[in-house]
Amino acid sequence: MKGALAVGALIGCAIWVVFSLVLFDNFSNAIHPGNTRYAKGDFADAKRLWSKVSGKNTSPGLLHNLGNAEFKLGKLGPAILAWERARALDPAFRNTTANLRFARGQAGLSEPELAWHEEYSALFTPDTWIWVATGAFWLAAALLALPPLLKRKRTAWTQGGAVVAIGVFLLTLPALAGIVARGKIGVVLAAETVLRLTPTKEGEMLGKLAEGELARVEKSRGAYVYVRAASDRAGWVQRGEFTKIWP
Amino acid sequence: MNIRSVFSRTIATLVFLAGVCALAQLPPVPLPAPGPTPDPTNPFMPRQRLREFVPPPAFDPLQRVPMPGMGATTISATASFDPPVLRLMRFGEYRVTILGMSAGIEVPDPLPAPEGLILDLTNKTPGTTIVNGQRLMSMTLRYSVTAARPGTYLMPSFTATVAGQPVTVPAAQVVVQTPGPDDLPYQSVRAVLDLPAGEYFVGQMLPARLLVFDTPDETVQAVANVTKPSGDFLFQTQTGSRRERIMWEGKESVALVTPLRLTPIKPGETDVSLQAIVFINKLNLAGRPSGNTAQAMLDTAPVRVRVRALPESGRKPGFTGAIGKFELGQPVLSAPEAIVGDPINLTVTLMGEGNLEAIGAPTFDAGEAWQSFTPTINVERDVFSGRGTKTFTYTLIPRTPETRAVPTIPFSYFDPERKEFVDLSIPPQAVAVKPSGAAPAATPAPATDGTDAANEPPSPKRAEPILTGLAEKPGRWRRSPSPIAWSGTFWAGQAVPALALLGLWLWRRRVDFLAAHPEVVRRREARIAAKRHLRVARVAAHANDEDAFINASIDAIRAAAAPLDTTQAHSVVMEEVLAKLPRENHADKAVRELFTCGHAKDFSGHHTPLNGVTELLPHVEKTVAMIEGRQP
Repeated sequence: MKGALAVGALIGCAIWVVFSLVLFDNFSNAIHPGNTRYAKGDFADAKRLWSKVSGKNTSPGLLHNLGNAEFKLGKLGPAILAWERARALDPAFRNTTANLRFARGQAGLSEPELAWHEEYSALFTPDTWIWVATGAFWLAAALLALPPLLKRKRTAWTQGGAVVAIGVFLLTLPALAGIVARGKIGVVLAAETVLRLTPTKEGEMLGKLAEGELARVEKSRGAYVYVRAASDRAGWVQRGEFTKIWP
Repeated sequence: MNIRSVFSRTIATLVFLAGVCALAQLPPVPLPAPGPTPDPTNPFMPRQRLREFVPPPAFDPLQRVPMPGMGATTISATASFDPPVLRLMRFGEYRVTILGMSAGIEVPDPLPAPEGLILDLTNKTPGTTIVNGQRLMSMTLRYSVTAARPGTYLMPSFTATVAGQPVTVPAAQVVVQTPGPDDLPYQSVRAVLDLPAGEYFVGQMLPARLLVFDTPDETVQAVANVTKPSGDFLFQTQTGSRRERIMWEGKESVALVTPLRLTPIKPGETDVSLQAIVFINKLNLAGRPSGNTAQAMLDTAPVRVRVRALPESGRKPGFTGAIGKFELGQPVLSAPEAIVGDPINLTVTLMGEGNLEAIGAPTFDAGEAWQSFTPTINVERDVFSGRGTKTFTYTLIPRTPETRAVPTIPFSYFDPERKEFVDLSIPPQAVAVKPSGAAPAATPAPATDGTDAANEPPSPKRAEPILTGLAEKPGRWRRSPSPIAWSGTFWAGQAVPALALLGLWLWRRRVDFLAAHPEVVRRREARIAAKRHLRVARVAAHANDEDAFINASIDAIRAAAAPLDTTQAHSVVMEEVLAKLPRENHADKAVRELFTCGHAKDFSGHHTPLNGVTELLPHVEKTVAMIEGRQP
């Protein structure tokens, strides 16, 4: 019986590995057609191909390339959105950061002002922080709770491990707060996006936001979201003109 | 008519004429005017005038002297010194009061003062005085008085003219003494430079004030020609001074406050002092201006100040010498849209406290996209609070239609309290730039058609090399760009370890409970054993195996009836089973029959017919259920 189970598990793992390799190969090849079109200067077609792929799955490289294509097509807002998403998925990829700086400089947009915990959270990907935090939390909980539950004596090893796990968890807390705060940031997609006093089409115009500018969502109502951009320029904008980096 | 009657008639006529003549000599007696009866409760009703009581005048050579030839209570004059004893170098008051008239008064000028007594007319005060219940008009002439040397001075009587009539002003006397050791010295106004202690930085505008304090003897009227005799400071006086009641050295004092602008220009420790000309009004002992004014050049005590150079580290872009605490107003564009080649204005307002006048305009550098001119500058400042605004107005001309915004203008200032540079960059301002009629419209795409190279710098072409290339590897694939915590699956997964720990805790509680209550375990085991035996009994009954049926049934009954302690089930005897059953019951009979058969089978030594014993199966099942139900 045990032998059958072991054989079954082995076969399952093999199937999973093969499936993953095939899938990875498929996705790895998925950006190449777009890259080819882009190299030929057909930015619109490249964007179409990459968008088709990103409709199912996404990756930092794909989003970086998509941002390039959007920028070449003169769509600053979607370009910055794609690059911001790519940077969130892979903060170590410097080309994306360079593209963002370049585009903002071209458009006269200022670099977004992030709080210290938001900067801290941007050191690694959000998922890295979340997994480290949850792992440390449950490890600490297990090391503290399992010995008494299993009628085992607490050893120095378990107690030291719990302290280390709690320490790691505490170090992740500012990053988690930063992730939550960054979750409200979005990008203005349309040029001259109107800030309105009320969430209505007839609402009084308070000002305009430039395309590609970052703003933070504070509340939403119907087809409008209340955003606050740099220098405390706040008002209601239509959902279609604004998209959060992390939807 | 006889002589006697003629004489009597003559006498009567003479008497009548004498009476008539006497009546003619008397003043006419006015008749009372007709009118309503006086009502004492009505203030508007005329009242009967009370007869005035005039006391006989007492002789007082220093006080009131009645004017000869006029009524005693009509016009008179008094004179007095206040105080009657005066310290040398101090000021007193000589008052002459004319009672009964407030106009048309002429007094000798100068007054016939004795030598050494100095009198100056300061003012004339009309008023009213109640004398014997009668309200009289009056005029008081006030003279400041001081003396050149100590002694007793008698101001002689003199004649004033009131409405053309002479009135004698009585003599008055004042004693001038040398100040004693207990007397307060004469206190002159003093000037102080109010500059809070602390470290300052080169270029910082210091919140300094010149304070000139009033004293009981002098009050300052004005300050002029404030200069800085010492210290490495740039110095500017502010226009305007005001009198304030301020706390100084723990005491509340009145001072004339003049705001100043001091700007250190050299690091190190230095003394700073001020010099000013003050206009003083000397006060008499009553605290009123004596009329004597003076000018004095006052120096403030030097104040030691430590000045540091601005730190080199931590400087931020756009620092143009601003030191203080500033805020940035919302930049304003003169128009939300612009045409290539047409100027627009960007107005930036800087508010706060600090060296507003010395701040250079933030440098605007937008490369080829904009042409900019030197901004105009306007400074407004509240003299006393020190707060102000500085407005920069940039004139900008867009050069390309691709321009989307006025870019960020770097600006920063140094905060002397926090001792660090603070970024206050002017945020970008969105503007829609449209091509001019002469210039062809350019598309947002980087490609240019090159039709007007002069007007259209190839900025998109130059931008292309800066844009990095494509990523060759896609990186790790995932379903969404959002963090994993944004999905419900993640939180469902987090429930797994939580439930595991919860289950473990519940399991531990159950284990500990069973360890503390072994009867629960035994009862459960007894039930399991009874069920197992009953199952065997059923199989035996079905196979008509009477021996096996009897053994299994007895075992099932014993297992169910065994006490929940350490007693083993197979040692339970029939009486113990019957003790757990009601008397005269089918179960009772079934148990007896089974045990009897079992004993006969086991202990008789020969074969005992057991026909029909398997039919006791329903009774056995009921008995087992009954015993289990009666167990504690």
